[in-house]
Formats: sequence, structure tokens, C-alpha cells
Amino acid sequence: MSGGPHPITRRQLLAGMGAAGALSLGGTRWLDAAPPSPPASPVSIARCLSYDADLTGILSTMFDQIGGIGSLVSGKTVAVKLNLTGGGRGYPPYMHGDTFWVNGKLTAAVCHLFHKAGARRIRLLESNSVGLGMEDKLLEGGWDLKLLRNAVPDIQYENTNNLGTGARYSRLKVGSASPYIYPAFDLNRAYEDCDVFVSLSKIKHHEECGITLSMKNLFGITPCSIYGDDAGQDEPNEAVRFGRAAVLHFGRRQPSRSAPQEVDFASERYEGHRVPRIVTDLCGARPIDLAILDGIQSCIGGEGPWVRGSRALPPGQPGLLVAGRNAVCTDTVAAALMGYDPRAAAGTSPFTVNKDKVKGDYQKEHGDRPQYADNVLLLAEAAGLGSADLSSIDVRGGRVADLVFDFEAHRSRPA
Amino acid sequence: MRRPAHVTTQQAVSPPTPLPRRLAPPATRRLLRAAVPVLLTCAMAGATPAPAEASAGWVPARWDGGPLELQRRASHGALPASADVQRTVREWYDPGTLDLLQGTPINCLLVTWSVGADPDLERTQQSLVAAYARAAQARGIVVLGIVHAPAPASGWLEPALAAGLDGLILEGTFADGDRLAADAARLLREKRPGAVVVVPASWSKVSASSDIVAINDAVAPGLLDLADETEATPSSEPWLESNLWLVQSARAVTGSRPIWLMASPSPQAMTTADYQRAAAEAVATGSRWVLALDDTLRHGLRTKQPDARAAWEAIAAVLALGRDQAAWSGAAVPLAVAGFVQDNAGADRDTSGANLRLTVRARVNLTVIGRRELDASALAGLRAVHAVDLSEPAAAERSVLIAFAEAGGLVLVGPSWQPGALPAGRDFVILPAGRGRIAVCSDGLDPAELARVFVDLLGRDQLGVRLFRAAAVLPHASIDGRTRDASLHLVNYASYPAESVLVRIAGAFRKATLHRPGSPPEELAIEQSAGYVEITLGRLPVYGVVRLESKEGGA
Repeated sequence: MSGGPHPITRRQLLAGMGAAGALSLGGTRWLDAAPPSPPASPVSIARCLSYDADLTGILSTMFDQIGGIGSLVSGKTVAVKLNLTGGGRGYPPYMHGDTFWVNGKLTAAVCHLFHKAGARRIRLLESNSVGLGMEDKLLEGGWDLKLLRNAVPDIQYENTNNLGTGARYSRLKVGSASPYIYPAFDLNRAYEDCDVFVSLSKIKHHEECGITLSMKNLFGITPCSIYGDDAGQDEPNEAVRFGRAAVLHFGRRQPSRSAPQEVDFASERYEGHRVPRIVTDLCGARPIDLAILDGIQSCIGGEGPWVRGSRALPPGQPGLLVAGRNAVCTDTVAAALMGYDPRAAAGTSPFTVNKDKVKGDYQKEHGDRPQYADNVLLLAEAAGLGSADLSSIDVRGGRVADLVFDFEAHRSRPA
Repeated sequence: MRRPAHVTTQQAVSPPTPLPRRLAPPATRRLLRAAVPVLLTCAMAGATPAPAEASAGWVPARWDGGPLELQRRASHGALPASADVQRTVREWYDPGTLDLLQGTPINCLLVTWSVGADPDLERTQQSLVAAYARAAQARGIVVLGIVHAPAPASGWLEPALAAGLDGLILEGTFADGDRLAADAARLLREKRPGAVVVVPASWSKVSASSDIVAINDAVAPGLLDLADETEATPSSEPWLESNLWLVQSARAVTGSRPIWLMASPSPQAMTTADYQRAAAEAVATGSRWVLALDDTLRHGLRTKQPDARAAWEAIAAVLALGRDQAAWSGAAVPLAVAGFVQDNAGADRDTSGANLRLTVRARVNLTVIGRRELDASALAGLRAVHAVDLSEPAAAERSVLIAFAEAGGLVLVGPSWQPGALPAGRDFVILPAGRGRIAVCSDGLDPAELARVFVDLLGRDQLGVRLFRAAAVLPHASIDGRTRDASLHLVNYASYPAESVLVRIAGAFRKATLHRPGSPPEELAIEQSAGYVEITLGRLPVYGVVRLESKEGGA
């Protein structure tokens, strides 16, 4: 992750600051000097309309288009962070893995290719409810575990929502000189004990961040034992039961004292400000080596069925697969494939917080303030993680314009 | 969805002292003309219990109709808008409607008998119904008359005796209703020994002395959309309206007596699946759902519309499945991993009910244990006990629960177990006890959260039965104490089919067969693992029963 000089433009600065332009962006480093140019690397895109398609064939071609995965995974421990947000009722009649979770068949194909390329160990990671095993969670979402076992006979699973099978947490420091919210994170050791870290995520909307792509997927690597509402005050709570609203979304409290605390606990508490910055910090702490995005089928209007107004897209929509070695570039291309301007200003689609008035949380806390979400792509670019400039990214496998699936048009279309 | 609870309870049916047969009618007439309830109560002494067994095989359906039913509806402003439908209701007691019952298990009709209307109209109705009842009885069908409060007894009891009804349903609140019911039952039994008087009551007020336990606050089972009322979270489960818990709760009070889930006919047309689901829940729990047809379906049946006929057959298929299962379920007991201690006389039955409902909703296979029955034998074979209902556990109760925990069990109790044990701000605290644990929960912990804590502490792999890909499906499992064969009832509360439901059930089984209404049995592939088997069901529209034959049972 290196690159040459790349000055932050005034447009980027304003976009990053959102509609509330006077908000702090975590210090003055933006204006101090021209930061290095963020890296850009090729991104492969493909049309894929069904999970029953020849996924290994399509992915194999895509991996070749981004330089191949042999040297990346051969003889290595590969950790794959899955995007298995939430659970519950889903979007009937579809399985979770069709619409708001990454798909099981796609994951099996990815793992099969890693295995075939010589990966020494493949470990699937996600933070589930404590006590809910990964395999059980996958079964609940409609995955076929036999398919996965056939793909990689000794595949491993780790629930990273607490200490899990490790003896202690790993402290991963945010790579940039000026982290936005947290200087470092305490994470399940599986995120450190790997040579290659893969984010395998869905292409979909997100209620508080605008879009869920490979970077946003890392929000779930934070263990709720430390970052959950009922995390221990001093030490992690290994029997944690709640989510990350109080600590991460709203910053109402600090994580357990055993973990690194916020850089500035007096900073903006608004989740449209915080969530994209925390995502960027996480990507700086646990860099993504390979980003793969599942847009074969998805949902619209939110990251899952608990988001009011969200709904499933039918099979074959958006009909996309995206892969790249740089997560910012990959997400930038994916945002463009969703029909959005990857450099869109905060407060304009897709970078809005989509909580309606009935839900009330936002309004109770913020009155009539605009519901903006800062542009996570620009924040990541500013942090030097990668380029969010579509024109600087080598897109392979097709033309973005030919494969665009207009998420915004579908959001406003009646179900 | 829940209808208001009635306040009356069904009393023990009075043990009659036989009167000379020829004297009974005139004596009865005199009594009815006078102060019926009081005088009849005086005649109760020395009575014998009515045979509840007679009613155990009844499969009931509400069969409201006739001019009196129209009059009742008109007085409530609920007259059907369509003149054709009004005609259907008015002419429902045409003997031809009995033909609908051919080939169905329905063998008990609840007919409109009295609403306290104009005496001439009441007499017209009762004359019509009496003829209809004779025709029904000739076909082996039991007929019970529905009496709507506050109809005076003088207008319905003697005519019921004269008509030879098999019993009465007293709906609503009657003055001195308990005694009235007892007296009416005694008089009816003088003429028909198996006759019953049923007084529907709220689940929390059911009585152990009822011949038939009729619960009038059962819900229309289904998946409820709470989108406008609650904030969903990523792991939110759908809200399922279910009566499974309610029957289990009532069963702990009433033992083996028949339990009927009562509902008034829906003013709106119901889907076939709605009917099937309601019937299926009752079948699953060994209770009876009192079929109550909506007007659209009734009109369709009367006018021989194919869609209505298909719906009727689909409903009957669920009831038939229930009848067929009677042979399986004779020695069946709940396949339970946990006990739920229920204080039947507790001060806060609503919270008790909510705790039970949400524990069942959390798919904990449990058995409800009445507080008085709490002893070591009641807990034998269980892994956990939910005992939060014991607001102030007595010394003997503590001993039983401590011994259970020390032997390795999990006990969930309220804060009175050990005042001061719970640190401020904590939902629960674990107290080690021998090889087990006692979890002391905070007072007023939300029932849903309490159920979640219970499952977390118990461990999902200890639930006995687990379902995957089935967010809107609830299981109800039982096991035959002799053969160790298991029956797993699966009710889908969603309006769409559950696809590829994966069932994991503890035990060793050699054969699994899926029974679905209207379909031939289907043998399912079993995947055996250490300590459990896994079975995948192809498609579950509303209801299915998986019969598992134990390896212990031979063959």
C-alpha cells in the first residue's frame, strides 16, 4: 500500500466533511501538506446472473485479470472475512445468502480456488452471537456446508465476536499517522494469525454508511466483547450479548479499558460521521489483501431486512461480481457499478443515513439535522489506503458503463 | 388479535342425584320459571363427574347460523353486506350442509341456540336447530348449542333438554355463571349422560375441573408484522403469533382433559393456510381448534364453488392428520430438555404467560410443571429449569432446585432467590452450584431477553431439536415413552413456504417419515452424526409431522 504524492482537493475535503462542513475531520492533517498519492490497482468486473453459474470459472478469470492469486495464497494461511450481517427472518422466500449475506456457493468457489492455488490453511471469519457457532449460523442462512467441505475438506471457522479459540486478543494499530477515531483495535487473533486477509462482501446499500462493500465489511471484525453495548468496562465481556451501537455507532461510551480508547472522546458523535471513519480506521489496522464483492443477487434500501423499507432484489440482480487487490479501488469501481459517483459528496446519494422519521432514533438525538454519511471512499483515499478516482483505476473484464445496475433507481421504484 | 378475556370459568359439572324420569321435565319447568340458578344449585348434591372421555374424541366446528344468528349480528352491527351471504347464514341449517362433513373428522357441531332475542324468534331458531340436530345425531354427530350471554336460562335450557342437545356452550358473562353452568350440566346429563356444558375462559383462568377446557383468548396464528411498532435489529426474529405455549400452560393445570381453542368466525375472509395453521397448532399439541368458518367460505361451500370446496378439503386434511396421529400419541410425552415451572395461582399470570410464550418461541423444547408438582421426579431427565415464576421460592422448592443444579442442571430464578446477589446494572448473575449453575435474573427483565438468556446459558446445542432455514417455523416435539419413537410437528407461521428446512434432533433414529396434510407419507433421508440426526425437508407450506422411529425400538 504505497503510492506517490496525491494532494487532497478542496472538493474531496468538503465531501469528506459532509453537509455539516464545519465538522472536525480528526485534526488538521488534511491541510498541512500534500499527502502521498493513494495507490491504485486493477479491478476485475464480470456479469454473473446466477449462483448456479460456473463460479469457479468466472472467478478464475477475474483473479487472472488482477494478477493471479497463486503467489498471494500459495503456502499461506488465508483468512476470509465473510459478510453475514444479522440474521433473523431474512427476505423470504430467498435465503440470507442470496440477498444480504455473501453467498455460500460463491464462498465455496472462492475457497476452492484458494485451495487449488496452494493455500495452506483457509479460515472463514465472522462475528456471530456468542454461543452461535459459525457452522450453525451458516446453516441458518441457507448455506450448504457439504459444498464447502467438498471445496476445502479442512476448512476452518472462527467466531470472532470475542476471544474465540485464541488465548488473547491481538492489538492491530491503524496504519495511518492520524487515525480518525481509534488509534488501534483489539481483535480476535484470527485477524493477525493470517498471511492473507480477504474481504468477501455483498454489494448492497447500508443504512448508516450509504453502501456496504468490502471496506464496510470490516466493521464486523470488532469483537462485541470489547466494542459491544454490554462490553466489560475494564476487561472484555466474553459472554457479550449486544451489538455495537453504543460504542461504535454513537460513541456513548468507550470500549473496554483494556483496549485502545478513542483519540478524542469529545469529537462528533453522529453515526454518519463516525461509522465511515471507523471503517477507514479498521481498514488501516487490518489491510485487505484481496477484496471480492458478491453482487449476483442482493437487496435494496439497506443492508438487511431489519432496515425499514429495504427489500430483496430478484435473482440475477444486480448480476455482478467485482474483485481487486486494493479495497478502496475495488469499492470505488463497485460504487460506480451501483450507478453512483464514487466521489459523491456526503449527504448526496448514496452517502446518506437512511433512517426514516418513524424509526426515531436519529431524530431524537439530532433533531432536523441532515442525515448525511461521510463518503467512506474519500476518507479511505485521504488516509492513503487507495484511490477512489475511477479514472485512475484499471478496470478489467468489461466496461463499467455496460454493467451498471442502477441501485438508486431501484430504491425509489415500488417493490 | 387477542380477544378480550371472559371472566367466567367453567365449574365442576354438578353430580346429579337421579330424579324419577317422568318427574324431571315438569320439575325442571317449574325451576326454570322460578329463580333458575339458585334452585338448580340446591339440587347439585351427590352428583357424579361427567365422563370427560366421551368428549375426548370430538372434533368440533362452529356452525353458527339460522335467523337468530342474523339477528345477533344485526344487533352488533355486523350483518353481512351481501344479501346472498345473509341467505347462506339464514339457511345454514338446511340438512344439506351436513353433507359437508362427510369424509371429514368433524363430528361435533356448535350451533346457534339462544341469544336472548325475541322469544318467538328464539323458538323458531330452536325448532329449526332441533330438527337439524336430530339429523346430525342420526349421522353420529354431536350437537352443542351456543348460548350467548345474557340470554336467560328460561329461554334455552328447557328447549335444549327437549331437543336432546349433547351439550351447551355458554359464551359471554352470565350472572352467577358458574352455578348456572353446573346446574345446566346436571340437568342435561339426566337426559344424555355424556352431555357437557362448556364455558370458554381465558387461558389464565382455566380450571382443572372442566370436562372440556375451552380457551377463548387463543390467537389467530401467523406471522405478525410489527414494523410500525418496534425497532428491528439485525438479529430480530419475526414475531410469531402462536398458541403452542398456551396449550402447554393450560395442560399443566388441566391434565389430560380435552382442550379446545375457541375463536369467533372471522369477519374477513381467511386464507386456506390460515385455517390449516390454526388446526395444525392444535393437532401438534393434542388439543382441538374449534373450526370457525368465515362467511365467504361458508357461502362458497353452500353455493358449491370449487375454490371453497378445495379449501374445505385442505382444512379437513389437517384435521384428518390429527385424527391419524391419535394412534401415535397415546404414550407420548413432550420431548423436553427444560422445565418451565408455572405458578398457576401466581399474582402476575400475564408475565408468566409472556415468559412461557417467549421461551417456546425461542424453540426451547420444554415441559410445563405446575408449582405444586415441582419435585425431583418432575425434573428427571431435564437439563434446565426456568423457575422465574416462583416469586418467593419456598424452602422445599429451593431444595429441589438446588439439588437439580448440583447434579449438573441449569436453574433460572428471579432476584428473590438471593437478594443482593445481582450486581447493579446486570441482567443476571451466575451462582455455581455443585456441577451446575443457578442463574439469578434481575426483576422485570424483558421476557424476550429472559428467553434469550435462558437459551444462551443452556447452549443451543443442548436444545434437543434445532431448526435451520426456518425463521418462521416452530417445532413441537414429543416422544413415546415405550418405543422412544419421536414425533416432530413443524408449523410454518409465514404466508410463504419454508424451503429446505434442516432439522437436527438429538437421539438415534433409523427411519424418518414426513406426513403432510393431503399428501402420502414421504420417507426422508437421515444423516446420522454423533448424538443426533439431521433431516432436510423439501418444502413446508404450513404444516408437517416428522415421525422418527427409534433405533432403540427394534427392527
